[in-house]
Amino acid sequence: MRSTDTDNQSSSDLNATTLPAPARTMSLGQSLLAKANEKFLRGKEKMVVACIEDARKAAQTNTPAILVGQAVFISFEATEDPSYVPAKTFLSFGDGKRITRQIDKEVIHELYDTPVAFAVDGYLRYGRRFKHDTVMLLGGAISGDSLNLELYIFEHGKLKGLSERNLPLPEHPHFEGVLDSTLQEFYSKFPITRTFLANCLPDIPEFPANIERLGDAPLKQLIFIPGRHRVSKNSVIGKKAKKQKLKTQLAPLVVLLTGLGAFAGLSWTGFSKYQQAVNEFKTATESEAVRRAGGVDEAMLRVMQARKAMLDAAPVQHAQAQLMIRLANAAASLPDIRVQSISTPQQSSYASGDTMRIIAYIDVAALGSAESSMQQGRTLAQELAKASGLAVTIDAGGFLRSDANGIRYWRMSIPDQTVAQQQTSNGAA
Amino acid sequence: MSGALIWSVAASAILIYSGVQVEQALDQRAEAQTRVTRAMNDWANSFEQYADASKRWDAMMLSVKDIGDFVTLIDKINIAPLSWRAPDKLTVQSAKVDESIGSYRTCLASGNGVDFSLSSAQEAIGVIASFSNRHDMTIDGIHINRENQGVKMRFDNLCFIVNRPA
Repeated sequence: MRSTDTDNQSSSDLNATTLPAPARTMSLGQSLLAKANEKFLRGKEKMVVACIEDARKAAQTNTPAILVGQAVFISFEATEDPSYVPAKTFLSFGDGKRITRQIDKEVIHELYDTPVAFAVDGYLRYGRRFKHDTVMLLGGAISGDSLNLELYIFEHGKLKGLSERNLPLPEHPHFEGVLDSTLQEFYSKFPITRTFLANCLPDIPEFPANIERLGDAPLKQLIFIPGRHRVSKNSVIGKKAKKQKLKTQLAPLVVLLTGLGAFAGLSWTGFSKYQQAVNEFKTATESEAVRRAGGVDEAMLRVMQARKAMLDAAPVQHAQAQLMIRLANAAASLPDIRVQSISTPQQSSYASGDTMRIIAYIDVAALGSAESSMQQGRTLAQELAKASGLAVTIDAGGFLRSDANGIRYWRMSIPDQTVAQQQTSNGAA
Repeated sequence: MSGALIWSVAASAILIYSGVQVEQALDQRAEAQTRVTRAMNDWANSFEQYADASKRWDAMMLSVKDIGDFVTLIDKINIAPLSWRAPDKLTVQSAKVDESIGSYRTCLASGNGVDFSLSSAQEAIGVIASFSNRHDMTIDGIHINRENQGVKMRFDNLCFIVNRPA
Protein backbone atom coordinates (compact mmCIF):
# COMPACT_ATOMS: atom_id res chain seq x y z
CA MET A 1 0.00 0.00 0.00
CA ARG A 2 1.13 3.51 -0.66
CA SER A 3 2.03 5.91 2.04
CA THR A 4 0.05 9.04 2.56
CA ASP A 5 2.40 10.64 5.05
CA THR A 6 2.67 14.35 4.92
CA ASP A 7 6.43 14.61 4.63
CA ASN A 8 6.80 15.81 1.10
CA GLN A 9 9.95 17.86 1.47
CA SER A 10 11.67 16.16 -1.44
CA SER A 11 8.81 16.47 -3.85
CA SER A 12 8.37 20.09 -2.86
CA ASP A 13 11.82 20.73 -4.17
CA LEU A 14 10.53 19.87 -7.58
CA ASN A 15 7.46 22.06 -7.39
CA ALA A 16 7.08 24.71 -10.03
CA THR A 17 9.41 22.88 -12.38
CA THR A 18 9.84 24.79 -15.62
CA LEU A 19 9.43 22.38 -18.52
CA PRO A 20 11.58 22.81 -21.62
CA ALA A 21 10.77 22.70 -25.35
CA PRO A 22 9.05 19.71 -27.04
CA ALA A 23 10.90 16.53 -27.87
CA ARG A 24 11.41 15.55 -31.50
CA THR A 25 10.05 12.05 -31.00
CA MET A 26 6.47 13.25 -30.71
CA SER A 27 3.94 12.12 -33.28
CA LEU A 28 2.06 14.73 -35.29
CA GLY A 29 -1.06 14.32 -33.14
CA GLN A 30 0.94 14.58 -29.94
CA SER A 31 2.80 17.53 -31.28
CA LEU A 32 -0.38 19.38 -32.13
CA LEU A 33 -1.88 18.52 -28.77
CA ALA A 34 1.26 19.59 -27.00
CA LYS A 35 1.28 22.92 -28.83
CA ALA A 36 -2.34 23.48 -27.98
CA ASN A 37 -1.53 22.52 -24.41
CA GLU A 38 1.33 24.98 -24.25
CA LYS A 39 -0.98 27.70 -25.46
CA PHE A 40 -3.52 26.70 -22.85
CA LEU A 41 -0.92 26.69 -20.08
CA ARG A 42 1.08 29.65 -21.32
CA GLY A 43 2.89 31.31 -18.48
CA LYS A 44 1.58 28.86 -15.86
CA GLU A 45 3.83 26.96 -13.52
CA LYS A 46 3.41 23.22 -13.11
CA MET A 47 3.53 21.30 -9.89
CA VAL A 48 4.71 17.76 -9.29
CA VAL A 49 2.05 15.93 -7.33
CA ALA A 50 3.27 12.76 -5.72
CA CYS A 51 0.99 12.64 -2.70
CA ILE A 52 -2.20 14.12 -1.26
CA GLU A 53 -0.47 17.17 0.23
CA ASP A 54 0.94 18.09 -3.16
CA ALA A 55 -2.52 17.64 -4.59
CA ARG A 56 -4.06 20.02 -2.07
CA LYS A 57 -1.48 22.67 -2.82
CA ALA A 58 -2.00 22.30 -6.55
CA ALA A 59 -5.77 22.47 -6.13
CA GLN A 60 -5.62 25.55 -3.95
CA THR A 61 -3.51 27.43 -6.44
CA ASN A 62 -5.09 25.75 -9.44
CA THR A 63 -1.62 24.91 -10.67
CA PRO A 64 -1.39 22.29 -13.42
CA ALA A 65 -0.25 19.04 -11.81
CA ILE A 66 2.17 16.38 -13.02
CA LEU A 67 1.02 13.15 -11.42
CA VAL A 68 3.81 10.81 -10.37
CA GLY A 69 4.90 8.70 -7.44
CA GLN A 70 2.25 7.41 -5.11
CA ALA A 71 -0.34 9.71 -6.62
CA VAL A 72 -0.56 7.42 -9.60
CA PHE A 73 0.00 3.70 -9.96
CA ILE A 74 1.22 2.51 -13.35
CA SER A 75 0.81 -1.10 -14.42
CA PHE A 76 -0.15 -3.29 -17.31
CA GLU A 77 -3.14 -4.61 -15.39
CA ALA A 78 -5.78 -2.70 -13.47
CA THR A 79 -5.45 -2.92 -9.72
CA GLU A 80 -8.20 -4.02 -7.39
CA ASP A 81 -7.08 -1.48 -4.79
CA PRO A 82 -10.25 0.43 -3.82
CA SER A 83 -8.27 3.56 -2.99
CA TYR A 84 -7.33 3.96 -6.66
CA VAL A 85 -9.48 4.74 -9.66
CA PRO A 86 -8.50 4.01 -13.25
CA ALA A 87 -7.93 7.01 -15.46
CA LYS A 88 -9.12 6.97 -19.01
CA THR A 89 -6.59 6.77 -21.81
CA PHE A 90 -8.48 8.98 -24.18
CA LEU A 91 -5.45 10.94 -25.28
CA SER A 92 -2.77 8.26 -24.98
CA PHE A 93 -0.68 6.91 -27.84
CA GLY A 94 1.39 3.80 -28.53
CA ASP A 95 2.52 2.10 -25.34
CA GLY A 96 0.49 4.61 -23.42
CA LYS A 97 -2.60 2.69 -24.44
CA ARG A 98 -1.25 -0.59 -23.10
CA ILE A 99 -0.84 0.58 -19.56
CA THR A 100 -3.34 1.63 -16.95
CA ARG A 101 -2.98 4.76 -14.88
CA GLN A 102 -4.65 4.45 -11.56
CA ILE A 103 -4.94 7.58 -9.54
CA ASP A 104 -5.22 7.91 -5.83
CA LYS A 105 -8.85 8.72 -5.13
CA GLU A 106 -8.03 11.37 -2.61
CA VAL A 107 -5.58 12.97 -4.98
CA ILE A 108 -7.95 13.10 -7.91
CA HIS A 109 -10.71 14.25 -5.64
CA GLU A 110 -8.59 17.25 -4.80
CA LEU A 111 -7.50 17.77 -8.40
CA TYR A 112 -10.87 17.23 -9.89
CA ASP A 113 -10.97 20.67 -11.49
CA THR A 114 -7.23 21.05 -11.93
CA PRO A 115 -5.37 20.36 -15.19
CA VAL A 116 -3.32 17.20 -14.83
CA ALA A 117 -0.68 15.32 -16.80
CA PHE A 118 1.05 12.01 -16.17
CA ALA A 119 4.81 11.85 -15.88
CA VAL A 120 4.57 8.31 -17.28
CA ASP A 121 3.53 9.75 -20.64
CA GLY A 122 6.80 11.66 -20.80
CA TYR A 123 8.81 8.58 -19.82
CA LEU A 124 7.12 6.43 -22.43
CA ARG A 125 7.62 9.04 -25.13
CA TYR A 126 11.26 9.38 -24.24
CA GLY A 127 11.81 5.61 -24.24
CA ARG A 128 10.55 5.28 -27.80
CA ARG A 129 13.60 7.00 -29.21
CA PHE A 130 15.91 4.07 -28.42
CA LYS A 131 15.19 2.02 -31.52
CA HIS A 132 18.33 -0.15 -31.41
CA ASP A 133 18.95 -0.68 -27.69
CA THR A 134 17.39 -2.14 -24.64
CA VAL A 135 17.33 0.61 -22.05
CA MET A 136 15.93 1.16 -18.58
CA LEU A 137 14.44 4.48 -17.55
CA LEU A 138 14.03 5.26 -13.88
CA GLY A 139 11.29 7.65 -12.97
CA GLY A 140 9.12 8.36 -9.98
CA ALA A 141 9.35 10.71 -7.06
CA ILE A 142 9.79 10.93 -3.34
CA SER A 143 6.35 10.42 -1.89
CA GLY A 144 6.08 11.03 1.80
CA ASP A 145 8.47 8.73 3.66
CA SER A 146 9.52 6.61 0.72
CA LEU A 147 10.97 6.92 -2.72
CA ASN A 148 8.61 5.67 -5.31
CA LEU A 149 10.77 4.21 -8.06
CA GLU A 150 9.24 3.52 -11.45
CA LEU A 151 11.21 1.28 -13.77
CA TYR A 152 10.51 1.18 -17.49
CA ILE A 153 12.32 -1.26 -19.79
CA PHE A 154 12.32 -0.34 -23.47
CA GLU A 155 13.45 -2.81 -26.09
CA HIS A 156 13.93 -1.26 -29.54
CA GLY A 157 11.69 1.60 -28.49
CA LYS A 158 8.88 -0.66 -27.21
CA LEU A 159 7.89 -0.93 -23.57
CA LYS A 160 8.80 -4.43 -22.46
CA GLY A 161 8.83 -4.18 -18.72
CA LEU A 162 7.26 -2.01 -16.10
CA SER A 163 7.51 -1.97 -12.36
CA GLU A 164 6.98 0.36 -9.47
CA ARG A 165 8.81 -0.06 -6.20
CA ASN A 166 8.76 1.76 -2.91
CA LEU A 167 12.28 2.32 -1.65
CA PRO A 168 13.33 3.87 1.62
CA LEU A 169 14.34 7.50 1.47
CA PRO A 170 17.90 8.15 0.15
CA GLU A 171 19.20 9.03 3.61
CA HIS A 172 18.14 5.66 4.92
CA PRO A 173 21.13 3.38 5.51
CA HIS A 174 19.60 0.62 3.44
CA PHE A 175 18.71 2.79 0.49
CA GLU A 176 21.71 1.97 -1.66
CA GLY A 177 21.42 -1.73 -0.97
CA VAL A 178 17.75 -1.88 -1.85
CA LEU A 179 18.33 0.26 -4.95
CA ASP A 180 21.18 -1.94 -6.11
CA SER A 181 19.24 -5.17 -5.63
CA THR A 182 16.28 -3.71 -7.42
CA LEU A 183 18.37 -2.66 -10.41
CA GLN A 184 20.17 -5.97 -10.51
CA GLU A 185 16.87 -7.73 -10.64
CA PHE A 186 16.10 -6.01 -13.89
CA TYR A 187 19.62 -6.22 -15.28
CA SER A 188 19.37 -9.95 -14.87
CA LYS A 189 16.03 -10.14 -16.65
CA PHE A 190 16.73 -7.83 -19.61
CA PRO A 191 19.86 -7.17 -21.72
CA ILE A 192 19.95 -3.56 -20.63
CA THR A 193 22.75 -1.53 -22.19
CA ARG A 194 21.93 1.92 -20.81
CA THR A 195 20.06 3.22 -17.77
CA PHE A 196 18.59 6.67 -17.40
CA LEU A 197 17.44 8.68 -14.44
CA ALA A 198 14.70 11.19 -15.05
CA ASN A 199 12.87 13.78 -13.00
CA CYS A 200 10.96 13.77 -10.79
CA LEU A 201 13.44 11.47 -9.08
CA PRO A 202 16.03 13.50 -7.20
CA ASP A 203 19.47 13.57 -8.82
CA ILE A 204 21.35 12.30 -5.78
CA PRO A 205 24.77 10.69 -5.52
CA GLU A 206 23.25 7.50 -4.15
CA PHE A 207 22.28 6.60 -7.69
CA PRO A 208 25.20 4.89 -9.43
CA ALA A 209 27.40 7.09 -11.60
CA ASN A 210 26.85 4.97 -14.72
CA ILE A 211 23.18 5.94 -14.73
CA GLU A 212 22.69 8.76 -17.22
CA ARG A 213 20.86 11.81 -15.89
CA LEU A 214 18.09 13.17 -18.12
CA GLY A 215 16.73 15.83 -15.82
CA ASP A 216 13.44 17.30 -17.11
CA ALA A 217 13.92 16.13 -20.70
CA PRO A 218 11.25 13.38 -20.60
CA LEU A 219 8.76 15.74 -19.04
CA LYS A 220 8.90 18.27 -21.84
CA GLN A 221 5.60 19.02 -23.45
CA LEU A 222 3.40 16.86 -21.31
CA ILE A 223 -0.21 16.99 -22.37
CA PHE A 224 -2.32 18.52 -19.62
CA ILE A 225 -5.99 17.69 -19.53
CA PRO A 226 -8.11 20.45 -18.05
CA GLY A 227 -9.57 18.63 -15.08
CA ARG A 228 -12.04 15.75 -14.58
CA HIS A 229 -11.33 14.16 -17.94
CA ARG A 230 -9.05 11.36 -17.02
CA VAL A 231 -11.04 9.51 -14.41
CA SER A 232 -14.39 7.85 -14.52
CA LYS A 233 -16.72 10.35 -12.93
CA ASN A 234 -18.71 7.62 -11.25
CA SER A 235 -15.58 6.46 -9.44
CA VAL A 236 -14.80 9.72 -7.70
CA ILE A 237 -16.39 10.13 -4.33
CA GLY A 238 -17.19 13.53 -2.95
CA LYS A 239 -19.59 16.43 -3.15
CA LYS A 240 -18.19 17.76 -6.37
CA ALA A 241 -18.34 14.35 -7.93
CA LYS A 242 -21.88 13.81 -6.76
CA LYS A 243 -22.87 17.09 -8.25
CA GLN A 244 -21.06 16.19 -11.38
CA LYS A 245 -22.65 12.75 -11.34
CA LEU A 246 -26.06 14.34 -11.12
CA LYS A 247 -25.16 16.69 -13.93
CA THR A 248 -23.82 13.76 -15.90
CA GLN A 249 -27.05 11.87 -15.45
CA LEU A 250 -29.26 14.87 -16.08
CA ALA A 251 -27.44 16.20 -19.12
CA PRO A 252 -28.49 13.40 -21.49
CA LEU A 253 -32.03 13.66 -20.23
CA VAL A 254 -32.06 17.42 -20.74
CA VAL A 255 -30.59 17.06 -24.22
CA LEU A 256 -33.08 14.35 -25.09
CA LEU A 257 -35.97 16.38 -23.74
CA THR A 258 -34.74 19.36 -25.72
CA GLY A 259 -34.76 17.22 -28.85
CA LEU A 260 -38.22 15.92 -28.03
CA GLY A 261 -39.42 19.43 -27.36
CA ALA A 262 -37.99 20.65 -30.64
CA PHE A 263 -39.58 17.74 -32.47
CA ALA A 264 -42.92 18.37 -30.84
CA GLY A 265 -42.70 22.12 -31.41
CA LEU A 266 -41.73 21.83 -35.03
CA SER A 267 -44.33 19.16 -35.70
CA TRP A 268 -46.98 21.21 -33.95
CA THR A 269 -46.03 24.30 -35.96
CA GLY A 270 -46.34 22.35 -39.20
CA PHE A 271 -49.55 20.70 -38.09
CA SER A 272 -51.04 24.04 -37.04
CA LYS A 273 -50.29 25.56 -40.42
CA TYR A 274 -51.76 22.57 -42.18
CA GLN A 275 -54.82 22.52 -39.95
CA GLN A 276 -55.36 26.23 -40.54
CA ALA A 277 -55.09 25.69 -44.29
CA VAL A 278 -57.59 22.81 -44.09
CA ASN A 279 -60.00 24.95 -42.07
CA GLU A 280 -59.72 27.78 -44.57
CA PHE A 281 -60.39 25.32 -47.36
CA LYS A 282 -63.43 24.00 -45.53
CA THR A 283 -64.73 27.54 -45.09
CA ALA A 284 -64.16 28.21 -48.78
CA THR A 285 -66.06 25.08 -49.79
CA GLU A 286 -68.98 26.17 -47.65
CA SER A 287 -69.21 29.58 -49.29
CA GLU A 288 -72.51 30.70 -50.77
CA ALA A 289 -71.13 30.75 -54.29
CA VAL A 290 -69.78 27.21 -54.16
CA ARG A 291 -72.97 25.96 -52.57
CA ARG A 292 -75.14 27.60 -55.23
CA ALA A 293 -72.97 26.35 -58.04
CA GLY A 294 -72.89 22.87 -56.57
CA GLY A 295 -69.12 22.85 -56.60
CA VAL A 296 -66.26 24.51 -58.35
CA ASP A 297 -66.65 24.30 -62.08
CA GLU A 298 -64.19 26.23 -64.20
CA ALA A 299 -66.14 25.49 -67.37
CA MET A 300 -69.24 27.00 -65.78
CA LEU A 301 -67.25 30.08 -64.86
CA ARG A 302 -65.97 30.46 -68.41
CA VAL A 303 -69.54 30.24 -69.71
CA MET A 304 -70.70 32.83 -67.19
CA GLN A 305 -67.82 35.07 -68.13
CA ALA A 306 -68.64 34.75 -71.83
CA ARG A 307 -72.29 35.48 -71.14
CA LYS A 308 -71.45 38.58 -69.14
CA ALA A 309 -69.06 39.79 -71.82
CA MET A 310 -71.77 39.24 -74.42
CA LEU A 311 -74.39 41.08 -72.37
CA ASP A 312 -72.03 43.95 -71.59
CA ALA A 313 -71.19 44.42 -75.27
CA ALA A 314 -73.63 45.78 -77.83
CA PRO A 315 -75.37 43.08 -79.90
CA VAL A 316 -73.64 42.31 -83.17
CA GLN A 317 -76.51 43.82 -85.20
CA HIS A 318 -76.51 47.02 -83.16
CA ALA A 319 -74.06 48.97 -85.33
CA GLN A 320 -75.74 47.90 -88.55
CA ALA A 321 -79.18 48.74 -87.26
CA GLN A 322 -78.09 52.16 -86.03
CA LEU A 323 -76.41 52.89 -89.34
CA MET A 324 -79.50 51.88 -91.22
CA ILE A 325 -81.74 54.04 -89.01
CA ARG A 326 -79.38 56.97 -89.41
CA LEU A 327 -79.41 56.68 -93.20
CA ALA A 328 -83.17 56.28 -93.34
CA ASN A 329 -83.74 59.34 -91.16
CA ALA A 330 -81.28 61.40 -93.21
CA ALA A 331 -82.92 60.38 -96.46
CA ALA A 332 -86.33 61.18 -95.02
CA SER A 333 -85.16 64.70 -94.29
CA LEU A 334 -84.40 65.27 -97.96
CA PRO A 335 -87.72 65.86 -99.79
CA ASP A 336 -86.27 65.25 -103.27
CA ILE A 337 -85.01 61.77 -102.49
CA ARG A 338 -86.95 58.54 -102.28
CA VAL A 339 -85.19 55.61 -100.73
CA GLN A 340 -85.54 52.41 -102.74
CA SER A 341 -83.42 50.14 -100.55
CA ILE A 342 -80.89 50.16 -97.77
CA SER A 343 -78.68 47.25 -97.03
CA THR A 344 -75.79 46.43 -94.78
CA PRO A 345 -73.63 43.61 -96.13
CA GLN A 346 -72.92 40.55 -94.06
CA GLN A 347 -70.13 41.30 -91.68
CA SER A 348 -68.61 37.92 -92.42
CA SER A 349 -68.16 39.01 -96.05
CA TYR A 350 -65.55 41.57 -95.06
CA ALA A 351 -62.02 40.65 -95.73
CA SER A 352 -59.40 41.94 -93.33
CA GLY A 353 -57.31 43.45 -96.13
CA ASP A 354 -60.12 45.45 -97.73
CA THR A 355 -58.84 48.89 -98.64
CA MET A 356 -62.30 50.38 -98.95
CA ARG A 357 -64.81 48.52 -96.87
CA ILE A 358 -68.41 49.40 -97.68
CA ILE A 359 -70.63 49.14 -94.63
CA ALA A 360 -73.90 50.08 -96.30
CA TYR A 361 -75.52 50.71 -99.64
CA ILE A 362 -78.44 52.96 -100.24
CA ASP A 363 -80.41 53.04 -103.47
CA VAL A 364 -82.23 56.33 -104.02
CA ALA A 365 -84.50 57.75 -106.69
CA ALA A 366 -85.14 61.38 -107.65
CA LEU A 367 -86.70 63.30 -110.43
CA GLY A 368 -84.10 64.00 -113.10
CA SER A 369 -82.76 67.55 -113.25
CA ALA A 370 -80.94 69.56 -115.88
CA GLU A 371 -77.66 68.25 -114.54
CA SER A 372 -76.17 65.12 -115.90
CA SER A 373 -77.23 61.99 -114.09
CA MET A 374 -73.79 61.55 -112.50
CA GLN A 375 -73.57 65.16 -111.46
CA GLN A 376 -77.05 65.05 -110.00
CA GLY A 377 -76.15 61.80 -108.20
CA ARG A 378 -73.02 63.42 -106.70
CA THR A 379 -75.09 66.41 -105.57
CA LEU A 380 -77.62 64.12 -103.89
CA ALA A 381 -74.84 62.09 -102.29
CA GLN A 382 -73.39 65.29 -100.82
CA GLU A 383 -76.80 66.26 -99.45
CA LEU A 384 -77.25 62.82 -97.95
CA ALA A 385 -73.79 62.92 -96.46
CA LYS A 386 -74.51 66.32 -94.96
CA ALA A 387 -77.82 65.17 -93.51
CA SER A 388 -76.49 61.88 -92.10
CA GLY A 389 -73.02 62.93 -91.11
CA LEU A 390 -71.72 59.90 -92.96
CA ALA A 391 -69.35 59.67 -95.89
CA VAL A 392 -71.62 58.94 -98.89
CA THR A 393 -69.95 58.21 -102.19
CA ILE A 394 -71.11 57.41 -105.66
CA ASP A 395 -68.79 55.85 -108.18
CA ALA A 396 -68.87 55.72 -111.95
CA GLY A 397 -71.28 52.80 -111.91
CA GLY A 398 -73.48 54.44 -109.32
CA PHE A 399 -76.09 55.68 -111.75
CA LEU A 400 -78.40 52.71 -112.29
CA ARG A 401 -81.08 53.84 -114.71
CA SER A 402 -83.84 56.33 -115.44
CA ASP A 403 -87.43 55.37 -116.13
CA ALA A 404 -90.01 56.66 -118.53
CA ASN A 405 -91.25 59.15 -115.95
CA GLY A 406 -87.89 60.81 -115.78
CA ILE A 407 -87.05 59.31 -112.44
CA ARG A 408 -83.39 58.62 -112.03
CA TYR A 409 -81.99 55.82 -109.81
CA TRP A 410 -78.58 55.75 -108.12
CA ARG A 411 -76.67 53.40 -105.85
CA MET A 412 -74.59 55.15 -103.23
CA SER A 413 -72.03 53.59 -100.92
CA ILE A 414 -71.11 54.33 -97.33
CA PRO A 415 -67.49 53.37 -96.72
CA ASP A 416 -66.21 52.42 -93.29
CA GLN A 417 -64.87 55.72 -92.00
CA THR A 418 -62.87 53.98 -89.32
CA VAL A 419 -60.91 52.11 -91.97
CA ALA A 420 -60.62 55.23 -94.13
CA GLN A 421 -59.30 57.30 -91.19
CA GLN A 422 -56.88 54.58 -90.27
CA GLN A 423 -55.56 54.46 -93.81
CA THR A 424 -55.25 58.25 -93.88
CA SER A 425 -53.30 58.32 -90.62
CA ASN A 426 -51.08 55.48 -91.81
CA GLY A 427 -50.39 57.36 -95.04
CA ALA A 428 -49.55 60.52 -93.11
CA ALA A 429 -47.17 58.61 -90.91
CA MET B 1 -18.47 13.11 -22.85
CA SER B 2 -20.36 10.13 -21.50
CA GLY B 3 -21.93 7.54 -23.74
CA ALA B 4 -25.41 8.44 -22.59
CA LEU B 5 -24.81 12.06 -23.43
CA ILE B 6 -23.48 11.17 -26.85
CA TRP B 7 -26.49 9.00 -27.51
CA SER B 8 -28.85 11.66 -26.24
CA VAL B 9 -27.21 14.29 -28.43
CA ALA B 10 -27.48 11.96 -31.41
CA ALA B 11 -31.09 11.12 -30.62
CA SER B 12 -31.85 14.78 -30.06
CA ALA B 13 -30.26 15.68 -33.39
CA ILE B 14 -32.33 13.01 -35.12
CA LEU B 15 -35.45 14.28 -33.39
CA ILE B 16 -34.74 17.87 -34.39
CA TYR B 17 -33.96 16.82 -37.94
CA SER B 18 -37.14 14.73 -38.05
CA GLY B 19 -39.09 17.64 -36.62
CA VAL B 20 -37.75 19.94 -39.32
CA GLN B 21 -38.66 17.37 -41.96
CA VAL B 22 -42.16 16.93 -40.57
CA GLU B 23 -42.62 20.68 -40.30
CA GLN B 24 -41.45 21.20 -43.87
CA ALA B 25 -43.64 18.41 -45.21
CA LEU B 26 -46.70 19.76 -43.41
CA ASP B 27 -45.82 23.27 -44.47
CA GLN B 28 -45.71 22.17 -48.10
CA ARG B 29 -49.05 20.44 -47.74
CA ALA B 30 -50.45 23.55 -46.09
CA GLU B 31 -49.17 25.70 -48.93
CA ALA B 32 -50.70 23.38 -51.49
CA GLN B 33 -53.97 23.46 -49.57
CA THR B 34 -53.82 27.24 -49.37
CA ARG B 35 -53.28 27.46 -53.12
CA VAL B 36 -56.37 25.33 -53.68
CA THR B 37 -58.32 27.46 -51.21
CA ARG B 38 -57.13 30.65 -52.89
CA ALA B 39 -58.17 29.29 -56.29
CA MET B 40 -61.54 28.34 -54.84
CA ASN B 41 -62.01 31.78 -53.32
CA ASP B 42 -61.03 33.38 -56.61
CA TRP B 43 -63.53 31.14 -58.31
CA ALA B 44 -66.24 32.07 -55.81
CA ASN B 45 -65.49 35.78 -56.24
CA SER B 46 -65.71 35.44 -60.00
CA PHE B 47 -68.90 33.45 -59.64
CA GLU B 48 -70.42 36.24 -57.57
CA GLN B 49 -69.20 38.77 -60.10
CA TYR B 50 -70.88 36.94 -62.96
CA ALA B 51 -73.95 35.78 -61.06
CA ASP B 52 -76.09 38.83 -61.87
CA ALA B 53 -75.22 38.65 -65.54
CA SER B 54 -76.07 34.98 -65.51
CA LYS B 55 -79.46 35.71 -64.01
CA ARG B 56 -80.09 38.37 -66.63
CA TRP B 57 -79.02 35.90 -69.26
CA ASP B 58 -81.44 33.23 -68.11
CA ALA B 59 -84.25 35.74 -68.05
CA MET B 60 -83.39 37.27 -71.39
CA MET B 61 -82.75 34.29 -73.57
CA LEU B 62 -85.60 32.47 -75.23
CA SER B 63 -86.80 29.18 -73.87
CA VAL B 64 -88.46 26.52 -75.93
CA LYS B 65 -88.99 22.84 -75.44
CA ASP B 66 -87.52 22.08 -78.80
CA ILE B 67 -84.66 24.17 -80.01
CA GLY B 68 -85.82 23.60 -83.59
CA ASP B 69 -89.26 24.96 -82.85
CA PHE B 70 -88.82 28.03 -85.02
CA VAL B 71 -92.51 28.85 -85.01
CA THR B 72 -92.34 29.51 -81.29
CA LEU B 73 -89.08 31.32 -81.74
CA ILE B 74 -90.48 33.64 -84.37
CA ASP B 75 -93.47 34.14 -82.17
CA LYS B 76 -91.25 35.04 -79.27
CA ILE B 77 -89.55 37.86 -81.15
CA ASN B 78 -92.91 39.57 -81.06
CA ILE B 79 -93.83 40.01 -84.61
CA ALA B 80 -97.53 39.64 -83.84
CA PRO B 81 -98.21 43.19 -82.78
CA LEU B 82 -96.72 44.40 -86.02
CA SER B 83 -98.11 44.00 -89.45
CA TRP B 84 -95.16 42.08 -90.75
CA ARG B 85 -95.46 38.58 -92.00
CA ALA B 86 -93.09 35.71 -91.73
CA PRO B 87 -92.00 33.95 -94.87
CA ASP B 88 -93.95 30.98 -96.08
CA LYS B 89 -90.97 28.70 -96.34
CA LEU B 90 -88.98 29.04 -93.18
CA THR B 91 -86.51 26.38 -92.22
CA VAL B 92 -84.06 25.80 -89.44
CA GLN B 93 -80.66 26.20 -91.00
CA SER B 94 -78.80 24.99 -87.95
CA ALA B 95 -79.54 24.29 -84.30
CA LYS B 96 -76.60 23.44 -82.18
CA VAL B 97 -75.10 24.15 -78.83
CA ASP B 98 -72.64 27.00 -78.48
CA GLU B 99 -70.35 25.71 -75.76
CA SER B 100 -68.77 29.10 -75.17
CA ILE B 101 -72.03 30.54 -73.85
CA GLY B 102 -73.61 27.31 -72.72
CA SER B 103 -76.73 27.86 -74.86
CA TYR B 104 -78.16 26.73 -78.11
CA ARG B 105 -78.02 28.80 -81.23
CA THR B 106 -80.82 28.22 -83.71
CA CYS B 107 -80.33 29.89 -87.11
CA LEU B 108 -83.22 30.27 -89.55
CA ALA B 109 -83.28 30.65 -93.28
CA SER B 110 -85.87 31.10 -96.00
CA GLY B 111 -83.70 30.80 -99.02
CA ASN B 112 -80.99 33.42 -98.99
CA GLY B 113 -81.60 34.82 -95.52
CA VAL B 114 -84.94 35.31 -93.83
CA ASP B 115 -87.41 37.54 -95.58
CA PHE B 116 -90.20 39.37 -93.87
CA SER B 117 -92.85 41.52 -95.51
CA LEU B 118 -93.93 44.78 -93.96
CA SER B 119 -96.38 47.43 -94.91
CA SER B 120 -94.03 50.40 -94.78
CA ALA B 121 -90.43 51.46 -94.52
CA GLN B 122 -91.24 53.25 -91.29
CA GLU B 123 -92.42 49.99 -89.80
CA ALA B 124 -89.22 48.27 -91.00
CA ILE B 125 -87.08 50.90 -89.34
CA GLY B 126 -89.10 50.43 -86.16
CA VAL B 127 -88.48 46.70 -86.22
CA ILE B 128 -84.79 47.23 -86.83
CA ALA B 129 -84.63 49.69 -83.96
CA SER B 130 -86.29 47.16 -81.67
CA PHE B 131 -83.87 44.43 -82.72
CA SER B 132 -80.91 46.72 -82.34
CA ASN B 133 -80.43 46.05 -78.63
CA ARG B 134 -81.63 42.48 -78.38
CA HIS B 135 -79.01 40.07 -77.11
CA ASP B 136 -81.14 37.01 -77.70
CA MET B 137 -80.72 37.24 -81.45
CA THR B 138 -77.90 37.91 -83.84
CA ILE B 139 -78.21 39.32 -87.34
CA ASP B 140 -75.31 39.41 -89.72
CA GLY B 141 -76.73 41.65 -92.43
CA ILE B 142 -79.90 43.72 -92.92
CA HIS B 143 -81.57 44.63 -96.19
CA ILE B 144 -84.67 46.73 -96.73
CA ASN B 145 -86.24 46.90 -100.19
CA ARG B 146 -89.20 48.96 -101.21
CA GLU B 147 -91.60 46.90 -103.27
CA ASN B 148 -94.90 47.64 -104.92
CA GLN B 149 -97.07 46.46 -102.08
CA GLY B 150 -94.87 47.47 -99.21
CA VAL B 151 -91.44 46.70 -97.95
CA LYS B 152 -89.45 43.50 -97.86
CA MET B 153 -86.89 43.13 -95.10
CA ARG B 154 -84.24 40.42 -95.19
CA PHE B 155 -81.98 39.33 -92.38
CA ASP B 156 -78.78 37.47 -93.14
CA ASN B 157 -77.95 34.72 -90.65
CA LEU B 158 -80.79 35.39 -88.28
CA CYS B 159 -80.04 33.34 -85.19
CA PHE B 160 -81.67 32.99 -81.80
CA ILE B 161 -79.92 32.14 -78.61
CA VAL B 162 -81.99 29.57 -76.81
CA ASN B 163 -81.61 28.38 -73.26
CA ARG B 164 -81.06 24.71 -72.82
CA PRO B 165 -84.44 23.01 -72.71
CA ALA B 166 -85.37 22.30 -69.13
